[in-house]
Formats: sequence, C-alpha cells, structure tokens
Amino acid sequence: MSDPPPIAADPTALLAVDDLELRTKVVMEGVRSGLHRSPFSGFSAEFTEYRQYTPGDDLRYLDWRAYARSDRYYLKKYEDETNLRALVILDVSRSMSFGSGEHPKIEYARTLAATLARFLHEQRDVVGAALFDERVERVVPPRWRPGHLQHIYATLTREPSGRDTALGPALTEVARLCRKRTLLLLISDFLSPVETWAKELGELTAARHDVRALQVLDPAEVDLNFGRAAIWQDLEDGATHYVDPAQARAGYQSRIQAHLEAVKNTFDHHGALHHFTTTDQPMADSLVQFLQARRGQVSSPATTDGKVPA
Amino acid sequence: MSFLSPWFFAGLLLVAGPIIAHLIRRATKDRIAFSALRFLSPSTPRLDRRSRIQHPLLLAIRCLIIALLVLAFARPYWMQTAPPVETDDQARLVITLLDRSASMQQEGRWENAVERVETIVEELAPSDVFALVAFDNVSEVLITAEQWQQTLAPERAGLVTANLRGQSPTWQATWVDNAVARALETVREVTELLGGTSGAELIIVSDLTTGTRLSGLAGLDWPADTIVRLETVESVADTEGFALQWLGWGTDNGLGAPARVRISGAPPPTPQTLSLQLQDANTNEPWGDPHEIVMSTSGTQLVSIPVSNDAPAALQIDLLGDHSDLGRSLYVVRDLTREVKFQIWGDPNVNDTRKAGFYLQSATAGWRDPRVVNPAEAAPDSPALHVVTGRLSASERTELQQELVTGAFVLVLADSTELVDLSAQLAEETGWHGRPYQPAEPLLFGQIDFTHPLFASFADPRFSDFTRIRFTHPVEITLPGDSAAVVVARFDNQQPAVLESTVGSGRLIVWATGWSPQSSPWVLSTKFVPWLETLADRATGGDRPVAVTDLSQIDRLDLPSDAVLPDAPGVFPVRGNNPTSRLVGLNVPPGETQNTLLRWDAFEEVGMPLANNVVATSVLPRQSGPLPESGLVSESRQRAWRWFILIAVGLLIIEGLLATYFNRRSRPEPELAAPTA
Repeated sequence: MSDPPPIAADPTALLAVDDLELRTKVVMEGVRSGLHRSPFSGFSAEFTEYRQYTPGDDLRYLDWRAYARSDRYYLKKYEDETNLRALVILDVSRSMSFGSGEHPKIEYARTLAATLARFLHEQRDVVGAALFDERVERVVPPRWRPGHLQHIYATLTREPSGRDTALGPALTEVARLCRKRTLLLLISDFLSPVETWAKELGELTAARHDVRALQVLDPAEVDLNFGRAAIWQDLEDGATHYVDPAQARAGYQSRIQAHLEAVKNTFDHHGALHHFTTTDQPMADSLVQFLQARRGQVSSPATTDGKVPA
Repeated sequence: MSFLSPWFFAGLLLVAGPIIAHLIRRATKDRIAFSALRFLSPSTPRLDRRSRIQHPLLLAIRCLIIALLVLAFARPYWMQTAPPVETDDQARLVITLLDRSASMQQEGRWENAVERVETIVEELAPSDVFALVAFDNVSEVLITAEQWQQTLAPERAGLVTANLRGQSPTWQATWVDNAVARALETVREVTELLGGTSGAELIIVSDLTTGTRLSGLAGLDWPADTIVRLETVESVADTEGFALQWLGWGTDNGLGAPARVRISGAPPPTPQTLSLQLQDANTNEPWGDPHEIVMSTSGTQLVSIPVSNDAPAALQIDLLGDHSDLGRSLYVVRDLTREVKFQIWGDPNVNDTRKAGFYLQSATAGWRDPRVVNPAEAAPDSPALHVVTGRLSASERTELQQELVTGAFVLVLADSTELVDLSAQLAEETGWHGRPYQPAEPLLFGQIDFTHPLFASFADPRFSDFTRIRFTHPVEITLPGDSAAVVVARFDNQQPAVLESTVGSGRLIVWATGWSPQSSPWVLSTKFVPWLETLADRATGGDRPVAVTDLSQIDRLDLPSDAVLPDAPGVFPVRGNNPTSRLVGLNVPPGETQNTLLRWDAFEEVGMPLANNVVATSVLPRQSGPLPESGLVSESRQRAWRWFILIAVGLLIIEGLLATYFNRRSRPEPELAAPTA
C-alpha cells in the first residue's frame, strides 16, 4: 500500500474541507493506492445461471465454451446483471451527531459513504444512496447516468432530521425498496440494541442481498476518555444521569465491548460483513480495510487504548 | 432594635442551602450530550475533599443575602417615643368607652371599671373635653362633649358619677367595633364644633376577653392624631371556671332527643368532677338525677344529656361543682314536634301499586318533622295537607273547600276533566277547562320556576335535572285570562303542568296529570319524596322556628316590632307571625363566658392606633411626658426593611457577576464540545 495524500491521513484536517466531492477525491486517492483490484464484481461471476437452450432463445447468449465442454447448448444470461447494483445506506440519526472532537461522526460517515458511491460509480456500477433514522428518510435509487453522483452527494449532504435510530424498521423498508439483489453498504454507529434489528438483518440476507456493514464510532464512545462529572444527556431519548467519567469508565468499557461483540456476532451469524472503525482513523485506511474485508474476516483498526473492539 | 415579626428568623435555616451547595464538588447543572448513555451507569455526586467549601466569598454573599431578607421580613424597628400629643395650653379630647356587656357581670369587674372611669376623669385637665360612651352590642353616649363643656369644672366629676350610678352591666355581647365607630363619630363632631384639638384619645375600659368583637375595626377610617388606650379590668374573684355552651338537640332515638352542650374553661391541672342538673325552667324543680361529668385536662368536654319525651318543654341546665359567675346555666326549650294532618281524597286505596295513594302512603311513612298524622288523631287546629286523587262527592267537596279556606294545603292530581273542574271550584274561579290527551311523544317538564317554594329545593344544578320524568297522559288545562293561579311548571309543549293558587289562607296546588306509574315515573323518581316533604313543610308553616338562642341573636326571632324584648337569660314566650305564642330559651352570648384575654396585637392587626404596646392593667397616671410609640407605628414610620431589601438586591447583583466569573474560570481545561443534534 502506498502512502495516501497527507491530508487524507488526518480525518480532522480532511473534514475541515466543506466540499464533500473534494473530500471524496482525496479519499479516493488513498483508496486507489491501497487497492490492487476492485473487491466488487458483478453478480454474474457468482450467479451466472445456465439453462438448457430451447428453440426460440436468442443465440447470442449461447455459451459456446460450455457447449465445447459438455456438448450441450446452454444459455448464459449475464449481460443484464453484469453491473453491480449497490445502495449506500447512511445512518443520520441523532446519535450520529456526537463527536468528542471538532467534527461529529456523521461527517466522517458521510465522507465514507460518498467515497464508496464514487468508487462504485467510477467502475460503472449502478449505485444509489439512502438515509435513515427512524425510517428510511431519503432514497436515491441505484442508477448509472451522468450527474447521478452529484445527486447522491447532494442527498448525503442533507442535514440529519434529528430523530432517533430505529434500525430494524429501516432495514425492513430497505428490503421493500430493493427488489433486485443489491449490495447494501450500511454505515452506522450500531449503538441501538442488537435485538431490535437482528431479525430484520436476517430477512435482508435471506433475500440474498449482500450486506456489508461499516460501524463508525467516535473514539470517546469506545474508551470514554471524554467529558467531566456532570449531568449527561442521551442524544436520542433525552435521558439524563449524573456521570463522573472517572467512576464510570471501567463499567462503560466492559459494556460497550460486549455490545460491539454482539454486533459483530450478529452480522457474522447472518453472513454479513462487518467492519469497525473510529473517526480518528484515516478514512482511506478505513475504506481500504472495509473493501478488502471478506466474509468471516474482520480487519479492525486498533482503538486508542490498543484493544481491538471487534 | 426590636422586631415586629421575629418568627421570620426561622428563615435563617435557609442559609444551610448555599452551604450544602458549596460543599458539593461538582456543579451538576452542566449538561453533556452523549450518544451511548445506556452503557453508562449513574455516578454519585461527591464532596470535595480537598477543599470543603468552594468559592467562600460567593458563599458568604449568598448567606448574607438570605440573612438580609430574613431580617427585612422580621420588620425591624428602633423604639422611639412618639411626639407628644398633649400640651397644657391646648384642649385634649378624651372619649372613654365603658364596657357594660354580660362579661362585666363577673364579680368585681363592673365596680373596677366604674372606678377606672372616675380616675380617668380626675386626671383630666380643666381644658380637656370628655365624653363617655357605654357599650355592649349597642353603644350609648352617656355624657356628650357638649354636655361636658357646659358643666362647670367642679361639677364634672359629679356628672360622671351620677351617670355611672344609673348604669349596670347587661346580658349582651361585647361589640367594641360598634362602640369605637360611635366614638370616632363623636371625635369628628367635636373637631368640627371646636375647630380642632390637639388630638383625641379613646380609652377603652373593658375586660377585653376573646369574646370581644373586633371585626368591624378593620374598616374604620381613623382621624389623624387619634390614639387608643386599652384599660383592662379584672374580676376580683377567681375566673378560672367553666361555662356551658348550647350545641343543639341531638337525634331523637325514639326515647327523646338528647341535649348537646359543651363545657369549656381553663384546662384544670387534674381531671375535675362536675355535674349537670336539669330542672324545669318554669318551676325550678329538678328533673331527673344530676349527670356527673369528669372534665379532662384539655378544658373542653362535649356532653350529651338524655332528655326523655316526658320532660318539661322548657328546661334549665345547671353546671354544679363550679364557681364561675357566668355561663353556669343554660335555658333550653325542646323542639316541638310539628304535625300535619294528611288525608287522601277521592281514591283512598293505598294498597294498589298502580294508584297514587300507594306511593303517597309509602312516601309519608316514618316522617319525623313534620310528623304525618291521621286527621282523626290530630288536634283540630293542626296544619293539614290534603291530596285529591279522584272524584269527590258534594259533601266532600264542601268539606275540602272549608279546609282550604282555613289554611290547609290541597294538592289535586287532575288526571281528568272532572278534577280540573273541581280545581276550578276549589280555586273559586270559573273558566278553567281540562282536556285529557295523549301526546305522540311523552312530555317532559319544559319550564320550571325554581324560585317558587314548590321547586326551590331543586334549584341547585345537581338536582335540577327533570328530564327523566316523562308524562304520557297529561291533561291540557286552559286558564282564564284573569286567573290568579300561578303556573309553576309547564310541559315542553307549553301547557301548564303544575299550578298554585292562594285560596283564603290555604294553598291549592294542581298537577295536570295523575301520579300513577303508568302515566309518569314521577312517583318512582328520587325527587318525589323530597318534593312532597317540602310541601308538607310549607303546610306546617315553613322552617322549624328557633327554640334556643342567645340574647345577641334576639333580632333573628322574627318578633313583631311592638314586642317587648327580654333583657336577661331565661325562657320566654314569644309571638312571631303565628297567632300562637311559643317558648324560646335565651342565654348569655357564648363569647361573654370566655375569660381568656385578647392578645394585644389583635388590635394592631385591625389597624387600631394604640398609644401603648402593652395593655394597661392598672389605672394609668396622667401622661406628663411623651407616650412610647407602638411597635407597629414605629416600624411603619421607619420602614427599615426597605434598606435591607435594597442591600440584598445589590448583593444579588454582585453575586451574579461573581458567579459568572467563577463559572467561566472553573470550566474544564480544553473543553470537549458535545454538539447537540
């Protein structure tokens, strides 16, 4: 892997750039240098279907190689499905607006989503984008046409509506929206209880969608090296506690680790890829690791305290 | 420095609030937004161990603010002397109010009071103007200022003595407010007459017990330079006795209504045994054995004395074993049981549940007041209530007409043309027409005059809903234009439903429908019995007359203007608007039997400008120097509380600025911003 552009190594510096497209360009540089080949391929590679030739079929689709091997006429319908259908799904709920540094998680996640969309678009795959909080808020259906990427950028740039997360119902709605088999790139903090969305995730994978989840957390959400003794208020449900981080840190770390483990296990259980990153990681690195991940393998960056969260 | 409301110093406890707040290390008002609060467990606020008190300067200012507010509420003042109101060369108006109420009957009080007035007169300078007002529940000017001035100086003392000699305490209540109002009128009159004095002094010579009425003082307009001096007189005898107070007759349990009385007085150190003796108020013969009462140390006891039905109508209840002068006897008259003759005419079948008679009989059974009696058993002059439910013979008609004219109440349930005609005859009118009809829809009461005594008891919105009472067989009654009958209620088709007419000294009430359950659920409704009882009550003359009261309430007995009013406790025959006289027990006003002294500040609370803030208990020597000013006057003149409030406000501003400064300075180092959604 060659070195990414200097600005790409510092997420804070990169996120200071207002223009999302410009940010995606910078990250793309790093991604290109990190990837030897595209990890995504058309479903035709895996799902090429052969069926016996019947009189009347278009002879253009006849698989001559198969005929050479088996002396039987097979049709290979891969032309329509060669291009990948992908949908980048971004969590824009209130919890994503948290950030212990200068920029909230949503900015980091938005840049990743835009870069993924650009990456897929550039390899001429049809890509769309969806934003969700309690429900799927906005959808740009997967397409490939000039100006479509700008449409996606514009959608991703919209400010979050400030509602709670309800991942389960949102996944159900995604399943309703995606009738065809789709690569679903899910970007969220996945802080809501696993049991509230595990069933819906299972339904998505059962519908043969390729689900790949990118979990983005703020470093402070992992180690609680943040804040002071005060009244702490939950961003989503508004609940308040008096919290002294010095007292609460150990308990918090054990609970968040258990949750991250549960998230990972859930995705593994349903055959979906899961990748974890924090907002202090260079975005290009996060994306490269995400793109290189394979089912059953998870490459996660080291957290600030050196532990691997998932 | 003195304080008008020192109890506000309890507010100093509030100083603990800032001290505790400053002991808590972490300011808990800071809020930090966080995304994963559900993984966090709440912490316990800790005390700062390094420094027990945070920002001691701020704490001191906050405590000082509270202390200043407490001080302001306590209304501080400095004792000062009032400017002298008298000079030797100016006339001074002195009005003495002499209490002659029932409480002054206590042994020695009246003599003391008279002596006190004479001493006041002796102290007067020749140029002073004097007036004497005697009061109980009415005020009487015994010596006017004009009379005083017209009397030669050497003869003035004799004038006062002569007037006092003709006075004696009454049995009435102590209404100081009336007397003071009367005295202030005199002050204004004299001021106008003399063209100004150096101020007026009102001297109240009274026992000033808690039974004294002060309520009217609050609304008085006090002329400038008027001051009031209180002179209490005490009984020479021990007044730590008990007094009786009448509470009323209890519920008659069949053996007779018990007499309920309260015995009250100063709490005895140990339980004390007393007894109550009933006696015939007319003959003074004891009736029954004494009832022994053990007075608890609370000083109050409620007693229920059984009085059987064969007891005399007028009774005297005496408290034995006590030495108090007042309130040892109560004069009570037993409530007479009112009777009403009740008779059903026309269809007197009281066993058929389809007939009105059954419900009339059931409704009137068991009434205690008025008690329903058979005409054969009743006294000839008893009030009567007759209900006509069917046709009458000519002789019955004549008899009923006679009853009506002589004062009976006749209720006609006119469910037929014949009964409407009968009603017209009874009302001594012609031109009444009745026509039974069957409406397509059952009728309701469309209009009821709730101001009329027939329905007044249902005027409250809780009881005025008559919409469940429907009438299926009404009679259309048409009245002539000159009919004297009053339509009390109408059906919702505007036809008269209930009429009332005065005939002779009796009343005729006509319902334009029958009362059988088939024609209306009226007799089954919850309003039926109360309505009938109200009618019977009216038939017996209205509300039960008062039988026991006190002398201050005598004007409520509804006596004729030429009646001779009793002036002492006892049992008296009174003749109200009824032709026959009745007995009434009149007692000492309950407030007069109390021996507890009024608090001196009770006068200040009603705005009385007292000359001295302690009640004089001995004859005051002539005031040769300036009078000490009362606390209320000093405080209201100085208004020191305003300065304390002003300083507290100033400190509050400083506190706000300091708190902002400390807050900014104590913000954590590189603040980790938590953006909101």
